[in-house]
Formats: sequence, C-alpha cells, structure tokens
Amino acid sequence: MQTATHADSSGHGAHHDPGFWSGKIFSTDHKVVGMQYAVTALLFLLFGFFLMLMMRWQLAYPGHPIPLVGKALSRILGEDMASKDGVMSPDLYNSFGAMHGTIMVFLAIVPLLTGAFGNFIMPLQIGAPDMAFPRLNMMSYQSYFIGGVIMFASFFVPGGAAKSGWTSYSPLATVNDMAHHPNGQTFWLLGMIFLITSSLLGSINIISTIIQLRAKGLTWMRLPFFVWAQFVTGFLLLLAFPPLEAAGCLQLMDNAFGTSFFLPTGLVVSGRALHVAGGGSPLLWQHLFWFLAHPEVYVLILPAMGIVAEVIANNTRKPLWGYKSLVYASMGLGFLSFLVWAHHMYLTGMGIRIATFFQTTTMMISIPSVIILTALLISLWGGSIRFNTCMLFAVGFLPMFGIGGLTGLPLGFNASDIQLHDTYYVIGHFHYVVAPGTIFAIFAGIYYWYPKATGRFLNEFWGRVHFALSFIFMNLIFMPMFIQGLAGMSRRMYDGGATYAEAAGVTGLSPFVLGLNKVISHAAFALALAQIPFIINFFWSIKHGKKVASDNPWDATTLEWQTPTPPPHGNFTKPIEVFRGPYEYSVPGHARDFIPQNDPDTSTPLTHGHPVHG
Amino acid sequence: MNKSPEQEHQDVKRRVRRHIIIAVALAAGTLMTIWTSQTDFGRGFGLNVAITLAIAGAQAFMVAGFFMHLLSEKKMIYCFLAFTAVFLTVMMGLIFFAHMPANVVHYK
Amino acid sequence: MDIPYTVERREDTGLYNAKLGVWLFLASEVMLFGALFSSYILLRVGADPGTWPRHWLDYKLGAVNTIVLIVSSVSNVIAWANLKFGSFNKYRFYQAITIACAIVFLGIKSFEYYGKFHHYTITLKDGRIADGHIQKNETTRDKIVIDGWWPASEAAVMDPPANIEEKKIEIQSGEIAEMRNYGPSRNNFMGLYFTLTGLHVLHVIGGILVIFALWGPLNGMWKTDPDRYTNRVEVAGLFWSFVDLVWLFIFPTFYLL
Repeated sequence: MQTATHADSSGHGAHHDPGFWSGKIFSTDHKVVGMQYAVTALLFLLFGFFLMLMMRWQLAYPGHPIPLVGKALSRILGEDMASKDGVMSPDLYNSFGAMHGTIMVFLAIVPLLTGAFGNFIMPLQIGAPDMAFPRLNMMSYQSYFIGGVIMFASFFVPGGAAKSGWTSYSPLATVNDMAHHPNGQTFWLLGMIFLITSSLLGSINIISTIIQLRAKGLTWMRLPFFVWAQFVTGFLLLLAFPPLEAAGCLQLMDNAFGTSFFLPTGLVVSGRALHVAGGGSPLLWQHLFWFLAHPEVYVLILPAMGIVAEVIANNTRKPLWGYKSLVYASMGLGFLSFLVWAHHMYLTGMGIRIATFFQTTTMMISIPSVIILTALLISLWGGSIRFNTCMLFAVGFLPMFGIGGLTGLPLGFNASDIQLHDTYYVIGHFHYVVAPGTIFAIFAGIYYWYPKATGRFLNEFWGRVHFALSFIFMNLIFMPMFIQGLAGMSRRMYDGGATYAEAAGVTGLSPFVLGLNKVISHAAFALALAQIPFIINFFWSIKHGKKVASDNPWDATTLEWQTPTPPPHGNFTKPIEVFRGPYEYSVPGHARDFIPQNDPDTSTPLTHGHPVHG
Repeated sequence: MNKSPEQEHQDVKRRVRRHIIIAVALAAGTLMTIWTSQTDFGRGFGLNVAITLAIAGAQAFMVAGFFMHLLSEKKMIYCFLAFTAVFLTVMMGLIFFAHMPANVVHYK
Repeated sequence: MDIPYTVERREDTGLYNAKLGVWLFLASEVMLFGALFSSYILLRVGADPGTWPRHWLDYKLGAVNTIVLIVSSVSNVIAWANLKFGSFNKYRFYQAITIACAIVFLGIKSFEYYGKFHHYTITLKDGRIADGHIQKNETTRDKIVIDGWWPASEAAVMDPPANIEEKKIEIQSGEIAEMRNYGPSRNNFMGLYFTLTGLHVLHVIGGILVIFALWGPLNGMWKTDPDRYTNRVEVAGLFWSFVDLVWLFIFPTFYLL
C-alpha cells in the first residue's frame, strides 16, 4: 500500500524549525491557518452563544437583573446599556441581537466551515502539498482576525454596537445612534469589509486549489463530496459577497459622509427632518443585502452536508448512495441560490409578477436540497453502522435539517409568508437548519478529524453525553418557536412579546405562548451547560486522549488519512496518485472492508466513482 | 521555442501592431460615445443610452478579448466568466424589474 | 513538496495557478462594480423628475483620462509581450509609459475632485442662487467670492447650459441661507460618482503600485526565475486591463449620459 513516508526521512520537515512567530502566527501552512481559523471561530461561536444567553434571560424574565454578569455589564458598557443593578436596556438587547446574528454567521460558522475545515482538510483530500496561494491564505485569516477585532471593539464604542439587526436595514441602520460619529454601525460596516475581503480571498484560494492541485488520477468524479461542497461554496462566496461589499461601502458613505443612497426624501427622525439630499432607496439596500445573504445560507449548509457525507460513508462502511446526484444537486443548489433572494422581501410591496418569479425559484431550490438529504439518508440503508460520536452527530443532522427545510416551505410561499414573516417561526426555521443542522455537522467533523490533527481520540463517553444533551436541548429551544411564530409573536422584541399579551377583550399572545419563553430560555441555559463536557474534552484529549493506533484510525478511504499524524509540512512526501473513487468500502472479494483512494492494488478493477459491485 | 530570433522579433512586432490597432479602435470608440450621447437620434434619450453603452460594451469586449487575451484561453475560463455575466445580469435585471412601476404595489 | 503549476501550466486547464486566481478575483470585481452600477441605474431611474443632474462633469477631462488609460493598457500589454520574448529593456520602457499614464490619470482625477469640493451652490436669503468655484485668496469671513454665474432656478443648477460665462461674484456672509458643495453628500449622483470613481482610483493605485514594484525594486526575479517573473507581470497586467475596462463604463455613464 502506498503511504506517505514519515516526516523524518523526507528531509523536508527537518531542514528548519520555524519557531513561534513564523511557525504559529505568521505561518502560511494551510493546516496552521486552518487551526487559527478553528480556534478563533470557536471562540466567537461561544461568544455569540453567550450574547444569546443574556438575551434569553431578558426574554424569560423581562426587567430582571441578569445574574452573574449583569452588574459587570453595567460597569463595562455604561448605565444607558445596562442599569446599575444589571437589567438589560432595550438598546442593549437590540445590539446583542444584531451582533449575535453577525457573529454567528460571519465570525463563527463560515470561518469554521471554509476557513477551518476547508483549509485543513481539503488540500489533504485532494493530495495537494498546500493551498494554491499559501500567503494569500495567511492574509485571509489576518483579514478575518482584524474584522473580528473591529466587531468586538464595536461594543465599546459610544452608543454601543450595531443594533439594527444583522440585516442592517436602512434607514434605521443609518439613523440609529446618529449622534455619535463613528458609532457601532460604522464599526460594523468596517468590520464587514474586512470579513468580506477575507472570504473573497479565501474562496479564490479554495477554487484555485481544487481546480489546479488535484493529485494525478484524481478526476472530478473521484473527488470526495466534501471537496465538491467546498468547491460550490467557493463560487457562492466569490460571486455573492461583492454586492454586499458594495452595499456596505454605500451604507458607510451614508453613515459617515452624509450621502443618502438608502435614505428616502423627506425622512423625519425624532420629529426633525433629516438634513440629507434624499432620493435614496431603502429597498436597494435590501436587494443588495439579500443578493448575498441568500447564497450565504447555502454557504452555511453545503460544507456541513459535505462533512456529514464523509462521516456517513465512513461509518456505514459502504459508498454514498447517489454520488452523481449529490454532485449535480450541489451544483444546482449553488446556481439556483442566486435566483431566490427576494423571498426575504415578500412584504416590501413587490408586485405579483416578480413575487411569483421568486416564489417559483424558491420552490425549485427545495428540489436539490431534498435530493442531497435523501441521498444521505438512503446511504444509511444496508450499512454496517458504527454509532460513534461523530456518526451520532451526522445522523442527528439529517432529521434536524429535514425539519429546518420543511418549515421553510410556508415561508417560501408568498401567501403564507404574510402571516409568518418576521415572527418567531422564521427564527425556529433558520435555527433548525444552522444550529442542530450545521453546528451538529461541525461537531461531527471535529470528532471525526480530531484524531488526524492531534493523534488522539476525543473521549467517546463524554462525546455521547454531549450529543444526547445537545440534541434534546436544541429541540426544546427551537421547536416551541414555531408555536410562538404561528401565534403571531414577532421577532426582535425586547420584552418577549409581553406588550402583545392577550387581555380582556383584546386578542393577543396567550399566556401559554408567552410562557414558552421560559421553556426556551431554560433549555438554552441547559444547552450551555451541555457544552462544558465538550470544551473540557476538547482540551483534555489533546494530551490525554486515547492515542490512535495508526494513521488511519477510522479505516477511511479518502486521502487525508494517508498522511502521517499530524500531517507534516508539505503533507505528502511523495506525489500521490489516485486510482479509484472516494468511497470504496466493502468491495466484494477484498479482505479489508475499505480500499484507500491511492491504493493501486490491481486485484480490483480500477473504478470511476462507483465500485464494481451493484 | 524553436523559432529563430528574427522570427520571434517578427512575432513581437506583429503582436505590438495588433495591440496598437486595438488601442486606436478603443480611442475612436471613446470619441464616438461623445457623439452618440449628444446627438438626437429622434427616438428619445433611451436610444442614446443604449447605443452609447453598446459601444462601451464593444470596447470592453476588445479589452477583455485582446488585451486580456481571453480569446486565446481555453474553454474553462470563459465558461466560468459567462456564469459571472449571467449572475450579474440576473442581479441587475431582477432588481430593476422589481422596481418598475408596474411591479410595485401602490397604496392609495 | 513544492506547489505545482506556479509557473508551468496545468494541461487540462491551460493555466498556471496565479492566472486562474486573478481571473477569479476579476469575476468578483465584476460583481462588485456591477452592484454599484446597478445601484446607479436603480437610483437614477427611480429619481423624481428634476432631481437628477446632468452635465455636471467635464466630459473633455473625462475623455482625456479615458485615452490616457487606454494608452496605459496597451503599453502594459506591449511591455508584457516584449518580456515574454525576452526583451527586458523594451519591457522596462513600455512599462514606464504605463506608470506615467497612471500618474497622469491620478493627477487629472485629483484636479477634478478638488474642483468639485470647491464648487458651491449658494442659496441666498432672498431666494437667488449663485453657483461657482470658491476663490480662496479673496474669500474672508465676511464675504465669499466665487467665480461663477447666477442660475435662474434649481432646475438650471441641475442641468446647466453648455457655455456659461463665468464672472466674479461677491456675496456677503449675512446674505447666505445655504451653501452646498459638489461633494458626495450633494445628491446621489455625486455620491455615486465619488463612490465609483473613488473605488476605481483605489484600484488604480493598487494596480500601479504592484506594476511599479515589479518594474522597479522587485525586478531582480527576472534574473533568477524569468518565467515566474513574466507570469507575475502578466497577472498584474490582467488586473490593469480590468481597471481600464471598468473606466470604459464609468466614463459614458457619469460623464456623457
């Protein structure tokens, strides 16, 4: 079997020891950059979660001081943000809400999926020594880091962080905190410019690497589905982000230089006419924003599906069902994702013809989604399933993404969206896709690839505890939101809807619906506690986890398992040649139940994407 | 390369000559747009916009095709750029279409 | 292991890595400038009648700048062609023309921007409107001196006639109701003009810095790795031609139509 030889004999890893600064901070090695992304993004994930925990406290117990951190918030952020005894102000609630969304999407999930997993795993899976542009890779991380610092700093700016939603709609985004220059929104816009730049440079790298640096014999239809997912995602980032960058520049001009690209004529703020030229269009912002933000959600889900696919194939010991369907569906998904954006704008007064167009494309895009989910589900059939922790998360992903996708349907129809737009139903829908969806896939990936990066397993018992508790509590958090949304409870309400409570003779939100706030919040606190074993496991196992017995502890077929553990600089000491497809599991007539892609063993006929047996 | 120095020299001269012709065409295009934007063709200002931007488009095609030698690249590059052009058109077209008066709901 | 295809081309794509990378980057730039042009179209078509100015920019200066960029683009390509065939000195000569043209472009742009920031429309308390360029050496705290004209109405300001006779106008500060310059906050046309040309200028500066760096301080690579150096020059050149291409749309859109 052809394996890459150990680092010592190559002479490559031995010739210099880069030291801390060029080895860990200014490294251009894709694995180091991937780790930098992973650590930073996981920290932001935790921070974004923490913001939400404080918000959930306010929703369950409106007007009550936040335990543990309330007084500190007041001291750090000032008394107009949090009262002296620690009660959150509406402004603080709004800024936490806006920043929770921004941080989760742009600072946590996308960097984890593309920056961490994409950077670390993809070059290994295609048999490349590094990314096509290593220095650009380093700069992408640095741009992301700077963007993150700016976003974090925005909390401490006079007026506080941006508070007009992660969607930052004008004119509110421009007139909020108008008295301060610069304000939290200015920082948000500057931060977004750095984050978008980071993603653009990263996507150029990912696409170029996959096109140019595939190993010999690694044809397109022999690529692991994870690589296809990263490839399509790269195009989404490349082509969809620039309009938001343009919109961000324009809104920054409105915010800082008195232009009025998005401010209509005759706007009156707090009783006074706004002194701008006017003539702007708030809808223009929405179009430009959603032109990115819709493809963005497919950026959030495609690499996650890629991870789930790898884990499922490996732990069912059989090839993925419908590899070609998966590939073509992901390409279709990417293409269609550019054509659906205005389904976020059904309530803006668009005419019927244009609304119908977007409704049609939105219905069409559910087809490739379902194809991918179905293929992954059918892949389980007849498998010899190993229910290790990563497989639990991967299988858990499937019904959760199913619920998320199905609940999207009433939102995709113009008529039903009239009732559901901007309610908690929407929050439930998208969180199902991203939280027990994407985040479960991320956990699956971490449990799966941790042994390759560190040479040790994460603890299985605590992994299962982590899975079981997370699964239960995530459902307890997001399922009630559908009930609240159908009852008409709006998003982004500081008091949890209390203003709209039903009263004698007045229809409104029932005590049951409002009471669900407490259920959700308590489940959120429990979810936070459920992450503690994971965090401890993550750090403890670096030094004390069970050691792997080989470089390929999961008996996997893909190329990242054919390197030493952890892979050295340059990854493969000899050029890799690929002879078969990515999922040669349980090939009949073979002693082992898997054949690595680079195994030239001629006793099995060389294959394309599918093994020879039926 | 297997060409003699004189042949290579001729190659360069030919290329340079072609580039200069394109450059002159571009400059002529610029002067033409000044004319097409100011002359009244009788069918309204929209026609001026269309013709002027068409000339600009032709200039862009020449820059992309010859200066950026897109016309001598393999299929992959322009397939992919064609995609970009599609999305660009979709973005501009749909945003514009959504805002046409016939498509906007007016509240009386 | 070294990264393959940094210099030699991969057979199935016909590209070396950086060339693919720069085309991908240019595709994203198409979407960036495209979004800004879309915004222009939307805001212009949606503008109330009489609120969108015309003939506010000097098309002759714009045309000169267009020709300057065309010349710089062709000199850049000729420079690369010469480099590909080994004539380093000819490359240096033609690339110097490119750099010189870029400097001229930036100079003209600075002149235009300066003009706009010093061009004011002054509405007097009695309703009259004056419009012209501030004469800084004669303006004091009590009186403003401009070189300009008296438009009959706001409509005349929005679409000024072609040949205006400019003369010196003195206005007492006490008479002034409002002063607006022709900066980005004047209206959406100027806002978009400054945003689009400003972004374009940043690309000109970025592009010419790279071209200059390769031409000057970093040209040692021609001796050590000529093919890689030539590829870098080509990639920078592709970016530079793109910068020219964007201007070919900016010029008619803002200056002519």
